[in-house]
Amino acid sequence: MEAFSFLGDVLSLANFGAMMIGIVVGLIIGAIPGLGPPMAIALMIPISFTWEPQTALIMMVSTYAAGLYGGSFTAILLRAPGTSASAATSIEGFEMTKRGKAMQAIRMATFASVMGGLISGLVMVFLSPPLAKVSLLFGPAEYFLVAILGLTAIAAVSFGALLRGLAAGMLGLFIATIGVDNMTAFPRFVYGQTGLLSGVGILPTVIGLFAFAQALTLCEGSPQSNISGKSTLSWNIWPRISEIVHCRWSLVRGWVTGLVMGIIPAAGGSVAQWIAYSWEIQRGKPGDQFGKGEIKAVAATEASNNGVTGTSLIPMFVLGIPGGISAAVILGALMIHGLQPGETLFRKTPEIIYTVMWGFVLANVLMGGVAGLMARLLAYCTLVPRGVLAPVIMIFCVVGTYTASGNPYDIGIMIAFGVIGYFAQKYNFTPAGILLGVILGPIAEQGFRNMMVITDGNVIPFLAGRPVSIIIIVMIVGALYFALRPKKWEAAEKELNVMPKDEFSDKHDEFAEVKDD
Amino acid sequence: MTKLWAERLTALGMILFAGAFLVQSIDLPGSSGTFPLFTEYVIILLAVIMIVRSYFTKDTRFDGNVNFDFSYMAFKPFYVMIVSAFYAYLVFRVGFYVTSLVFYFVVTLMTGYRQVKVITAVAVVLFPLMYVFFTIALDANLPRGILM
Repeated sequence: MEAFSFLGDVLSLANFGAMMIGIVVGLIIGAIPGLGPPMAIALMIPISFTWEPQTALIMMVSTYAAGLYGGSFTAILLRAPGTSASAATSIEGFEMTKRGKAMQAIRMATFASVMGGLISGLVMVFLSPPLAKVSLLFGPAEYFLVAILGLTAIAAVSFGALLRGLAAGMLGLFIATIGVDNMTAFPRFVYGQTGLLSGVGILPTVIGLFAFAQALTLCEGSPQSNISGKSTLSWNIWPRISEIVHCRWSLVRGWVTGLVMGIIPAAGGSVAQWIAYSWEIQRGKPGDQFGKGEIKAVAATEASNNGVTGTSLIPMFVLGIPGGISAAVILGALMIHGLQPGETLFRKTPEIIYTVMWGFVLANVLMGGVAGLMARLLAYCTLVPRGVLAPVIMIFCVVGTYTASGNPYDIGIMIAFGVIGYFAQKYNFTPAGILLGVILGPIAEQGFRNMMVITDGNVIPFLAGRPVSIIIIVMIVGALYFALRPKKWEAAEKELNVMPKDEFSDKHDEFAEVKDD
Repeated sequence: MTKLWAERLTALGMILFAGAFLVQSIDLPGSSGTFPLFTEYVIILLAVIMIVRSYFTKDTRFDGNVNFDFSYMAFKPFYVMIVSAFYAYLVFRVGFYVTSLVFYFVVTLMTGYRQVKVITAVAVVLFPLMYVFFTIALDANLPRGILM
């Protein structure tokens, strides 16, 4: 097959060096809340102007893969997701950190991310042109339905407080309407504030709801204690075979979710982690501890997170349709180096595109090793006293928020969401629901209104003639059914709810006796 | 106050919140108000269900009273929120690094942490590192004021 003939090209000194630079920069910048892969990739562009196109692009895609993975570190250790794609991981990962199992969570996140990126990269290498045609099947109706599918995850992540979870989701949807309406250009709920005309960004929302809110929570209680309650850390970055076997089906579900959702431009990446998370909750077994630090949830969300990366690049390479901001930046880099996305890229310059794709595959493998040292260093954060850690996190929240947009209003929005997230956590209103609403609101609203215009109000006959829409509707119904029916692990937990929380957690944690080393 | 009454008051708050914006959404031109109205109606519906459920529920999570604690320890996060608001305002007037340094010391002491040597050591290491990384290496756009 043609792709194999370019496998050796990726191992040249220049390409390998570019890959390592991309991995290191991606990991570091991806770990800082607010900076993320798009900024990291954008920083690499000027450096690579004079490089060979494949070398430059290998660096970009390596930065992309490593940046998404790097965001998981702070998500797990501090509940401060480096990117919005790590928000779902932060929910269970941080609970594991509080139980002294930070390195176990990072080990599983590493394995899931490395394998997810590897599989996604191989799919990209061998199946790019046929899979790109799938993304063309998605129109306004499908985007609206995908957003609804993502919103069904709210029911699953509410952990029994369904009404509050749905209310949180609706609040998020409402907040997403603030700003100028895309269709009528009329400002909604801005009250004369020019900073609100562009709406409420996803980044200040994520940083506020998770990182800043967590910093406020850290201000409670004893300032001398640390997050994990431990005084030592482990060096082991790779999971045990028993952990992988325990999470095998969670990993597979996460990878499948990421691979499938990555194909959908502009919507897939945001939704994938939440669908993987809610699917995992629905498939839970007695003894699973969702909401209290369940390793299978970390496996699933991280698997989907990096499973998206390769397939999200397919529409960009084949059709010129970027799957997200990172892909859009890479598309810009592609064009700066004189390349045009599309069929000609594969026909006229296969040596470039296939080398880049193999570079992406190899980068995913290498980043696991490079991450080992970084994860260990970052994990020391969990040993820092809360009283010192809280203001440091808040300062980094401001840095991340302002650096991304340069909009002073975003800092106020971030702090406001921090306050909302703090109270939401305290009173069981599911911050994840608010975030899902903010992320999916614009997609849902635009898709719905475009669909109404196209169909002139006759939605049902229109949807009935679109097979992809029907498939998504079936998935929505299925997701709602499984989300609303009683779950085996919730029933088991209720039977044992007379036990103190910590005792219950250790009794039903298969790895409770496993030291974090 | 019992938890059931807390639930009802929360639902009432949701109705008032959604109602206030619902009145404004009705006046939005064209189809601009469709989606906001949808979310507001659903919030009100959910709040009504919460109130009705509170009169019939047998869920043990609603048993007991809400404990109010007005001590400094319980209100620490609120005071930090207020200080954060000042920080967000001053960071654009004074400058990022100076304001952040003051914010760091103030909040650390507010949380009750009193080991000044550790606080100072962290500041001595952290802020120069931040300057080198963000300002020199990344040339990041950070808030500027009359000072650094």
